[in-house]
Amino acid sequence: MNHLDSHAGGRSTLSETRDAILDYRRLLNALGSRARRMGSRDAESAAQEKQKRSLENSLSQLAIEYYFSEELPMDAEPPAWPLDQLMAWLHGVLHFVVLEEHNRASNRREFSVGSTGDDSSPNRLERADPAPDQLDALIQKELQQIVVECMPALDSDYRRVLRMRAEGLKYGDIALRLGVSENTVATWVSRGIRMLAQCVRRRTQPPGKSKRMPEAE
Amino acid sequence: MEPDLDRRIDRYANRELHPAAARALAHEALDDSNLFDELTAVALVQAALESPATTDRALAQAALDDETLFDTLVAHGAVEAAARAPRKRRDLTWAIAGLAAIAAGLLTFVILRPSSHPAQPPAQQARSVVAKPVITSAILLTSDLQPAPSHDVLVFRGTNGATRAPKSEGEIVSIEDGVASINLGSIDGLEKGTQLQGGRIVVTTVFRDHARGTISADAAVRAGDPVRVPSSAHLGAILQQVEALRAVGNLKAAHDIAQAALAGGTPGETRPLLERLAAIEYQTGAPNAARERYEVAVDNFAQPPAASSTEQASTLASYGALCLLSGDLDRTTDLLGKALAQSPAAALKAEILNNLGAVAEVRADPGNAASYYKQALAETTSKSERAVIDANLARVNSSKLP
Repeated sequence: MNHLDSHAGGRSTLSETRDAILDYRRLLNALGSRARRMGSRDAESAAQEKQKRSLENSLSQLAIEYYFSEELPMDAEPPAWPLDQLMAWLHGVLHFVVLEEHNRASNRREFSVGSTGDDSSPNRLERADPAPDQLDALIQKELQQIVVECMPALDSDYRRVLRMRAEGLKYGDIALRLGVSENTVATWVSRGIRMLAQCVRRRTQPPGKSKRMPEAE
Repeated sequence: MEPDLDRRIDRYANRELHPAAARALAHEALDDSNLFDELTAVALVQAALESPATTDRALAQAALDDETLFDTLVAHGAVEAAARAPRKRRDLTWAIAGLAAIAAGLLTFVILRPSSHPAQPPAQQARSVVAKPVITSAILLTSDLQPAPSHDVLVFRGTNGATRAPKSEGEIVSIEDGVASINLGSIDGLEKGTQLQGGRIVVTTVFRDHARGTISADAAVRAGDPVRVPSSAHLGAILQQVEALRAVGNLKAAHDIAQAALAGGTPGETRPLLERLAAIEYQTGAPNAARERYEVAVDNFAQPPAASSTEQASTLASYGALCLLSGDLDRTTDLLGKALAQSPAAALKAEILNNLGAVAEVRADPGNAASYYKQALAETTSKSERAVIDANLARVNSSKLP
């Protein structure tokens, strides 16, 4: 993790990152376990790398501090991000980090096969730090796949109510349109979302090893 | 999952959780990987539902650079045409319409292609194409009919597939302190409050495959006595399993279970099963069998419990869309007219009016088609649905120009 120094700009940041890692040990454990199931061969490093990148983003940093810190100051204000936004972010960054790990492994193999002796520089084996748009593209692609693959399997009533919600209609408006109570709409929304979530879990976490992340040989 | 946690996850999914409660839930998830995964999956779904990347246009654009996405969209969004296209990109125009369909409304959009109906005689095909070229891109809206799955498409199957079928009969396993343990559960359709053995046992606690119920004071009940699930509850459980199997792409098993269950209920009770069977049969390439199912379901509208106007409108609209796909315009008009007469909710009304517009297009009546499309636009507030209907209207209007 030496590159933390140069990337983040100095020793103090490295120290802060180490402190943060200590403060969020349980979160790191949870993310490490998840990274392992996503196919990471060095899950602990992947989780720490993810943590570092999350703390470099001011919005995700505030959300992580609020939701996951061991002790919360009495006067702590709720963050701008709701919990679900943070969870999606954490997944996206972790996914990206694990993908990078696999790409690095792949690059190493390719490089050694095609090497002409100019492989002395370790930088050639490391990918550049991801640009924000790379991460964004990865997340967007995953979101598209969720809609395309999981939504058609959902019951039409749930699809309809989720569609209306996605278009910004309030529960009261949806209830009025469908002739049901607001409570019913809320129930349909949560059930629909959780059914889709089951599909997402089946897609992303098949038993054994991940389809997306086959283990490198 | 404990009920309290379940409720809190529901509130999390609805974004109704107070930040402090969300923090508590987040901390629980740190010690429970299953909960952590569930919260993450729900979060991804929330993000997907709200992402600009999942609008119809964004998906269509993304698919141009992603062949897998393209093929998946085509497989879900366009029926006959998709199966016939050797290289999907060759016929991009209709495919894009299919893409819009999926993202848009999470409805099934079917692209009318006269040349894709083998039943039509060649002369009629030619006449259709020459006289009414616009209909090649008219788009139907239907909520229930889904296209046949493509072999190329990722089929997601449940990891715990070894679940048993709902049972209609079980028995009392034991009795203790006036409480009977029964080897039937929620998977069989039991709910809290369900009355068994003619009301002598009232279910108080339900688990997935077993339940407990209190025995009324004067009832003579013994361990080993048979217990029968009320037929409406049993059929509800069957429907759930059929939908679950259909959702994971196991259409044959879904069909077989629904078919076998038809004998277990009255004509009124089995109407929903008939509609599921119709949808499955359409999905598996048996449209004539699907039509027969719908026909019986419509005939049984008055059978107790009588179909509500909402159910009638939905069934008639789906049946009408199927008839339109078969080229039976007169029957389509009749069915969609009857569906409209049930005063359906605005969203369904928009679908019906749009499809009536498509019928008018096929009949080479652009004036009427435009009128229907305009009425459909007045009913829908869905941006994506509006985009599709707008496209239909624009095409009709352009065809009226000299």
